[in-house]
Amino acid sequence: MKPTIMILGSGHLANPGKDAFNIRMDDVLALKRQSEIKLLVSQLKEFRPTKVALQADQRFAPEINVNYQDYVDGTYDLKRWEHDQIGYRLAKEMGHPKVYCVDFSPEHDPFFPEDLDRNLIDIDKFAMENNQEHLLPKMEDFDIPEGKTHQEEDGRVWIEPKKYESIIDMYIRYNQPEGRRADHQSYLRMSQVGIGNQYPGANWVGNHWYPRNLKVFVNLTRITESAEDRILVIIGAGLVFLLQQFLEDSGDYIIESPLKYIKSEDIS
Amino acid sequence: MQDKTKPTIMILGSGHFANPGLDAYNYRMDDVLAPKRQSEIEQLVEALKPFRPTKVALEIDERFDAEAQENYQGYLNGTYELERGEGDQIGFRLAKQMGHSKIFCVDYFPKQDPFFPEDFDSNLLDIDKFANEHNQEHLLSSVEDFYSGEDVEFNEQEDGRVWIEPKKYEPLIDMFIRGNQPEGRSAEHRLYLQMAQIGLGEQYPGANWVGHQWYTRNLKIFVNLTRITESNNDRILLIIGGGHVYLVQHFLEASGKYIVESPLKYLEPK
Repeated sequence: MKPTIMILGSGHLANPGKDAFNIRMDDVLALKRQSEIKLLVSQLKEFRPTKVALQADQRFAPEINVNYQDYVDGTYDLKRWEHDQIGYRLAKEMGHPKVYCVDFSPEHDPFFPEDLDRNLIDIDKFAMENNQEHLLPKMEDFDIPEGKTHQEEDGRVWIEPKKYESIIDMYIRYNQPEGRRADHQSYLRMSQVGIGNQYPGANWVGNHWYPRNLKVFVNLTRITESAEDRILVIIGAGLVFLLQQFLEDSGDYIIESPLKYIKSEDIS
Repeated sequence: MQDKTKPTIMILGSGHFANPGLDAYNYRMDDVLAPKRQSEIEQLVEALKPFRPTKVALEIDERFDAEAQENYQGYLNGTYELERGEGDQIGFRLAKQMGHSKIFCVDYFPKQDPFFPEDFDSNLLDIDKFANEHNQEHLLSSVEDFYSGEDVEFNEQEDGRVWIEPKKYEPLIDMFIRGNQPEGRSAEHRLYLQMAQIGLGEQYPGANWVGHQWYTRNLKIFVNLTRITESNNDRILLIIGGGHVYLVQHFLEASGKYIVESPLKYLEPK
């Protein structure tokens, strides 16, 4: 008997715009979106989670749990992000006393001191200067819906989807194994940026991306208390592949796919 | 049918023939220059030849490339005697028999890693110390996790490194068959994921070590393999310490860009 984990790959419902490619989400507080989210939550409830884990760094745990407590007490209005919209709702319906924060994104990572030579990890700059643009992630690598795109000055891309996609369909899309594998492939390609004794790609993937994902895995092991645990972790789709790989390779968990629970149905 | 749409890589997990003693657990090899071992090595090379490697890649850092090439050239010209290391014994022999003009150095083991300057706080990575001070010894691996057989004895050095002394003679080919079993490699990887859990609160010595050191080094070996790959006709044989096999193979497979062949296909009796 082993504890069970289900990873729900998610988009960012509140448009934080922190990724290289950001899909613009319309207002999830709108009535139609709210009923779609409630349907998603009721489907995920069938998993019977004993704990809900969120993509927030540990240092935010006190604040996030104060808000959760207030939500349980009816004095907090859910904000737009997926933590609140999916996580809090589900945790409350399951009667959980708290939610869990399992991301690793500290204010200061000791491996990236302020005086670190940025050239060591500047993948874009190195690729541009050395004719390796083909190794950089491209929008086509990701299963991004059709739509208008525009690029911010800092290089980040926003995609405005052309068609309305229901929350259920969105989460079915976010959790396709082929898509997650393709994400991981783009990291492995990016890690090849470099020449000779210069490895900006592998430096970034190896010293930033992988340790972060590994620490999310470690944080999940830390909150696991018994073989009866059924942990639902809600996390950006880009992290799903590695996290699942760690959980599976550890041999210590049963992994369930959310696709088993999320079903497209008529909600009109 | 040969799939010519992707280059092929075969990873031969190997012990270290020359007993460098650099690992936490070191398998004691008897003298591979002894006539019996030499003929076993020649048989092994013969068994691997049908893979038809176009390149032989070795666990040597790039900074030693010039020296390694010079030795290989000397070996081709008959002026260099093979040393005990597996790179010489298997790699040089095979590369010569295949008519290769050079060998390839793909390890990442720099003198100074820019992410670990001299004043780096070693507590960030000190798994043993943290585990001992915080009652997490159960997350550390022990030599028995790697060698459970009763045919070996363990000798621990003062610095904590362990020598595994075989009690009976094992033919080389059996050693390689044993060392290249996928189950063994994934069991070993599990130990790294267990070690990664050493830590508490904001402290992650286990994940720091596994992430920043172990994973990054293996990722760079993968990157170095991509750099020496020239065409879909390439068939690269990588000879590397058994501990690296799982992750390097994972990267190659997950990249979607390579066909990975198992050496067991060539080693096991038909």
